[in-house]
Amino acid sequence: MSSRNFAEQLANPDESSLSAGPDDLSDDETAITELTFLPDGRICLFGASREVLELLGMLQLGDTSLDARLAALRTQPTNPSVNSEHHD
Amino acid sequence: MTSSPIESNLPQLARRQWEHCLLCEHRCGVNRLTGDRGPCHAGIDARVFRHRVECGEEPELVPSHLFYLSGCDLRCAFCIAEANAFDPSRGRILTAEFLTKAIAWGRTQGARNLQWVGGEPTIHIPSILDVMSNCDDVPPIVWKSDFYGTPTAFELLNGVVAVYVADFKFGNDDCADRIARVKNYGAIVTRNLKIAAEQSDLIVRHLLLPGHIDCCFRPIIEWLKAEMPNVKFSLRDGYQPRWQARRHSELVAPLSRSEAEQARQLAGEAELNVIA
Repeated sequence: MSSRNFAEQLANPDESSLSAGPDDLSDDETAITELTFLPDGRICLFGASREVLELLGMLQLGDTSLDARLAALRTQPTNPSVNSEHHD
Repeated sequence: MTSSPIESNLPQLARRQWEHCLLCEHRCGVNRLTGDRGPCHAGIDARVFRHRVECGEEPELVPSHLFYLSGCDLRCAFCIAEANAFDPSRGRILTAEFLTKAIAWGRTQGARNLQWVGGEPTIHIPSILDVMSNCDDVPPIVWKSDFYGTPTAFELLNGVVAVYVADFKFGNDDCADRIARVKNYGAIVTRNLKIAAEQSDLIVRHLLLPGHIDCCFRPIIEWLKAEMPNVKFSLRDGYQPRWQARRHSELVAPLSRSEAEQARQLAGEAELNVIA
């Protein structure tokens, strides 16, 4: 999790976290997360960034899929893919 | 992080597909070196139209550095990548220099793996393998695919891919033909799921489509329950009507909450290993 709250980040953006990468590597969409608010209150995400997940986490929406991803970000284990099991 | 997983002769083997392309099940056999083009319209250059570190993938993959390649062998009317997915001339040419720099940048953002997505990466296997073979330090590879590739394609990926993410889109051939313009979909995808499961870790992903619970979702979970009951199953309920979805009356609106809930209940009743 970021050590700064969202309001602080808005007021004083950390250039390194907002950077999409070297100019020759990224296009304008690199740092964009698409959020769609459906009329019934559901929120759909595409291209979710860490910062957006953390922001939504602060809202305590009780969404298990969001919580699972936030938990994965917080633990940051070494890549599980290398040691993962086959499942069939 | 690991070094390049590419054996030295693999890119050369893959490049033979450019002369007579049998990478996907359209099996067009065109010579891409001489300018012929098959249904995917791809030449010999793979192009990246977007790359970014994302955290919306399955929890065990995040943060994942996704490289979006233009060009696809399917024509899904609801594709969220829209025109970029179907025009292989879009984006910058994938080179070892570009990939090396991009991987380094991805690491600074915390990426745990490198994920090839599209469009469809399978049609670009020769370029991808060639470029990765010229990078010194390649993260574990995640291969997100429509699984319409040939056994030859999967043979080229054997030992290279750490995790397959299979988009199991349709539960019957009629829907696949009508919405994505591909034939014999079910037999091909289910065959490839079994191949992939023998090679590496596998996540089966399904994007729920409105109005397709009975015709697509039920057959998919029934097949998984019978053939791969323990496979990691990722259920996506964030469908949005994008690209040309409005050509199909049932796809004009987002997925309803009730359909999403019904699908999760059905997956639970089937005792599938739902991971997301």
